Amino acid sequence: MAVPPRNRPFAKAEMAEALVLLTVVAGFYLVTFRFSDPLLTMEGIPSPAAIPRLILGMLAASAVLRMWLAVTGRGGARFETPDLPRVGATAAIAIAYVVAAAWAGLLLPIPVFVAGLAWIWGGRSVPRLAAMALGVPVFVWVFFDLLFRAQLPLWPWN
Amino acid sequence: MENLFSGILAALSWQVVLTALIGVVIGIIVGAMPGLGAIVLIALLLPFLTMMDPTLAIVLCACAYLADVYGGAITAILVNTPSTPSAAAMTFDGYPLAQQGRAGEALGVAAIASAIGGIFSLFVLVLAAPLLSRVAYQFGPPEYLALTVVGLTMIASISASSPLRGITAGLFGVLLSMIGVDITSGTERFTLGVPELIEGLDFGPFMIGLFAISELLIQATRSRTVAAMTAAKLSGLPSRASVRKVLPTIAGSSVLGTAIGILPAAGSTIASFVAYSETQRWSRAPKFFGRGDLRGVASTEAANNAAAGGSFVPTLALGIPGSGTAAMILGIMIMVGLRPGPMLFQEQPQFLGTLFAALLVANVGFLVAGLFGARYFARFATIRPAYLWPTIFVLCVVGTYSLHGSWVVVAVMLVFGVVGFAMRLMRYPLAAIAMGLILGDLFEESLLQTAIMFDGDFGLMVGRPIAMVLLAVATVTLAWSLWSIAGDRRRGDIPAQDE
Repeated sequence: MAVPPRNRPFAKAEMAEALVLLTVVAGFYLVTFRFSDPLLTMEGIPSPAAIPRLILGMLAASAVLRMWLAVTGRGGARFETPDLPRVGATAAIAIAYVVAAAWAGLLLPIPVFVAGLAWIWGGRSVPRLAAMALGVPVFVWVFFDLLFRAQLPLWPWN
Repeated sequence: MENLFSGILAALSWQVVLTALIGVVIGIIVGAMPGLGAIVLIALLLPFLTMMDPTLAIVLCACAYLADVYGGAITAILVNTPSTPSAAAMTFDGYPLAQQGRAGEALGVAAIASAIGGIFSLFVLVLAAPLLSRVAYQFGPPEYLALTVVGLTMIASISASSPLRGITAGLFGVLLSMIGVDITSGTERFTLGVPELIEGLDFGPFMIGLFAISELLIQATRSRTVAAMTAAKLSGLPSRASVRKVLPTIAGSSVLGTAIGILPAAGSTIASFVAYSETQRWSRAPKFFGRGDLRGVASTEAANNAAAGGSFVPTLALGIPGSGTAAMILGIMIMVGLRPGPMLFQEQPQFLGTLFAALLVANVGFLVAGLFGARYFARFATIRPAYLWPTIFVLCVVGTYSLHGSWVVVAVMLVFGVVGFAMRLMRYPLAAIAMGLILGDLFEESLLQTAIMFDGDFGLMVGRPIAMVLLAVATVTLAWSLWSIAGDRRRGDIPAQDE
């Protein structure tokens, strides 16, 4: 028996999921107009846009099916709700590390990053934080630079 | 075949044995850590793999994959935390045994079952893969097209809780495989003017972002929980009588696991659950299952390791990944210059001999490690995520940069980390995207070649019996998946499989 619309707690989430998918499909579809090749189509070979549009069509169909499941209450998705402040803080500090590494080299920002992120995640043991702050850059230097000779901007002057 | 067997014997050089054993140790350690699975492990190893000898690189990740499957059993038994989805069924009987003070017995049986399951699947791999490749040698573009369609429809089975999400994720992967220059016209597709995307979406940064970075964000919401080892004392190794008692279970589950593993996209998780339920169903005393029955441990562990080995059969012989982790290994094979598929058996028998020999060493390696060192490996499960994941993130950034020497690819990795995180929250199986990405190139290439071959008339496929059989299999699989969408809500408690 179909669940009445008011009692479907997850229908909105599924509808939103389907709309996001349709938006992504529409975005990709618009881009495909840039790469049609009339010469190939004349020769009977599918144009560069043909197969991407085929896949996009199937993705759109799956989004419509998801919408139908949401409307009829047959989907029943239970999405995990993340701890947004914690995820946001993790993402922010991770991006800050990448920006700092691009400017000051990969090694120097590591102690601040690893100790900072561990602290945010609840790590409070000072000896362990200190060991990480020193150990991780040394590990990176030994493995990537000394052992594998990878060409990396380890220092600001690289 | 003769080349293959001589290759196996000749391949046991100290470098291969050492690499295999390193893979075993890394695999068990990572397998014992909740949150880190074989795919994340291989994603983290990727930068190192590209700097290694291609054969040793594949040996390292294949052995680490098998050992990781076993490592998941250690934490399932001692900590009641399945660190990999395939180890979930192990908690049913493994943890009750540990609580009864029989953890050593459970760990010993798990190690023996793993090794027997793994070695059995290896023999099947050695015998079946060359035969399958000989059949596949006759394949033309229409057969390959049909085969990729089978692979894509099989992806639906990856997401047992929602086949529709599995199909959607697989199609998204196929779409991503079209980023870059089109092979027929030279037209740039979906590159957004970024030069780093002209040659296509790079497998390394994509996989590291999708699996490792998304896992970092998932762990950010769970980092407060720390696994605690069971207080139960570890008893000794299993007696000969207990091993003899579980041998028939191990034999049956090894056959079942290998058969499931050979199916494209069906992996260790399905194998372990099916083997457990079948063993219970055929048992004369099913009431002991779930309360600490060694047969439950043996069936689960033999099946999931046999399935891991079985997944190499379609991966090596056809170039169609048998599981999400096999898709990763397939991608790495392509990255290091090996072309998986029927030609591999003609062109690289030495490589295959080395790989088979290394897998044999790995199985013996984790039997020894499991029997005598499981309690030490289990300690890795109690490492706090707060100290582990910042280190993993640094390795991801440094490793990704080392692949291409560009910050753009690091940005690509971060973007796909966020995409992967969002998709995991919505229960999309990430392994399906990986498989779609791998199959996408072959799908488009064979579709274009078939279109040219048949002058656009796909009705001529009727004259290709192998292709028609494969398309029939794909149709049945798809119909079954669509039918089971109706039961989506009912099966919502089956874990998503990212192995």
